[in-house]
Amino acid sequence: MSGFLEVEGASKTFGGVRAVDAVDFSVDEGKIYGVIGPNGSGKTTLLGLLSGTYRPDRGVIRLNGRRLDGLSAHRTVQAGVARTFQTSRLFYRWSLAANLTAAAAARPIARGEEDHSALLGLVGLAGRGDAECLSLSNAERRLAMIAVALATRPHLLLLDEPAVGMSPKETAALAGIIRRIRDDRGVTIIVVEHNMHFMMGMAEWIMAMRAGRKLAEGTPAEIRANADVVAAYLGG
Amino acid sequence: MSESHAPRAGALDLAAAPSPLNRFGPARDYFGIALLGIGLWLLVVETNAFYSSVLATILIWTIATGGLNIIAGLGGYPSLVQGAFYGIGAYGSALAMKWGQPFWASCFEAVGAASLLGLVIGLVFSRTRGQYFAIGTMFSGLAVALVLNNWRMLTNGQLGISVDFGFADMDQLNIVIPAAAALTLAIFRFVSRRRLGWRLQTILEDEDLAEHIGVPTARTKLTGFVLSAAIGAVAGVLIGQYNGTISPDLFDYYVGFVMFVALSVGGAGRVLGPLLGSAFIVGIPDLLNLSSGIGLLIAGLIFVLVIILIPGGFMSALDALVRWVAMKAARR
Repeated sequence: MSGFLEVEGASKTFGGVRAVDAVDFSVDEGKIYGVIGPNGSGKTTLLGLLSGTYRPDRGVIRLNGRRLDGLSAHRTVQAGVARTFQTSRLFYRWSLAANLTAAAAARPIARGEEDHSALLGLVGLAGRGDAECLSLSNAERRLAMIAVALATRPHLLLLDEPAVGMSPKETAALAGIIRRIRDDRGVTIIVVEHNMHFMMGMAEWIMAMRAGRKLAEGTPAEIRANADVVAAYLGG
Repeated sequence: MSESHAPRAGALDLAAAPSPLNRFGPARDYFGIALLGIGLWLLVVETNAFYSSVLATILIWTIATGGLNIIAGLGGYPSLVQGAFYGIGAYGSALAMKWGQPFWASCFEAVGAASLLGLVIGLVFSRTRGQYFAIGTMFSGLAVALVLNNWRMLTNGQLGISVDFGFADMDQLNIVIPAAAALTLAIFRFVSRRRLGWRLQTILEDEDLAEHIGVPTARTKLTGFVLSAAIGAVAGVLIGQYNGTISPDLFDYYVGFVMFVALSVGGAGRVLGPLLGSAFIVGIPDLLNLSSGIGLLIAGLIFVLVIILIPGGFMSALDALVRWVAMKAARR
């Protein structure tokens, strides 16, 4: 394996439950990679292992050859991995622009003046920089969280159920925004979602999980045709 | 933490709705703080001995609570151990001088000792949050108070010890105290707009999110806590100098709690919060000549009332007043 992101044997146990159990996969640079699976199948825990939220009990995670497993969350961000959360998390009492400024400046490496307007335009929140985050709608908060993650200038962006609470129309727009982020910024994206329809139209490669293990991997069409995946979803 | 890597961190002002009192740039802020310091110095020098000593005590408390303002006001960590750093500063400097150190060296040693203790307490309790951090720091303060009371060989117990005077005369000390108070407010103003300050503010808002945008939360909290401890020790050195004698009751376990109350009442996270809070908590009992028990009772009552009626403290009430006046003026 010589992918951009390489995960070998990643495992995480919570109180005897194997939330993620010896999962191997790799992601090529610039791809949109989907992770699907029923509730409790370990998708979010897997994302947590990649983002440094949790430390894996076993396994190796490499980004561009550099070990990520065992790094704290802030070091993982500094290594170029940013994530969003299932529930919208922002510095709510601040303006959206202040959130972006904080995220852009949190890394120790000096960079030029951050242009928030381009970033806000990219996620479909043009002109909303001055809004207090508390005043944003659910869909706007989901997008704002993606903008904050992008402001850390990640190479790998991890989206944890980005479409939660969105209307079908907003979800369709979100799929376009995620593709645009990849195209414009060259960011590799891993999306965790259990909305199959949303995923099928957007991801280029999909891993299906069940009970903490990798069930199947393939193109969206292959996954849709996979009997095991269909059974997992239909509870068969 | 070196500031040289920080990208234009000097200009960061994260508050969503900045206070109308905060609309001036840094130069004017520092100028204002300097003017305030000069005004306070004139008050200390020109009023009668009683008012002067009350004001000096208020200013020394402003330094201690101004230090606390970094970890508690910016970082949102309710540290109840500031009274212990205050005590370490007073006893550290007094004892170092007794052991033959010159005054200036004793200051550094006292501040160093408090910073070291801050580092240890910080390493242990910065892993805890909210009420657990409050309880942990309160018991750390209790431990220090017990040592001051009971290690009689060193501290002479409740009888206290005399403190060698380190200045040329009282006039000099009367300049140093307001200057140090103004400097503390200026340091807070500086830190709050620098990388350490806004990193602490991200921790106040949402510590887990802060970590996930790349803020090294553990190191940030530790740095803020040690800085708070060091400034608290400076206040301790000055109270020793001003009183001439120190005894453990000045630094009892609840003093850290009263300092937290003073900060909250004045306005946590605000530059002038420590001054306003100290003025009320120290000034009212002293000016009304209340015994310390009644004074504490009133302090507690004020705390409860302020927390219920104006959660942001006096500074936020002042904000509201300025907004109201500005609105009236605009309508005219």
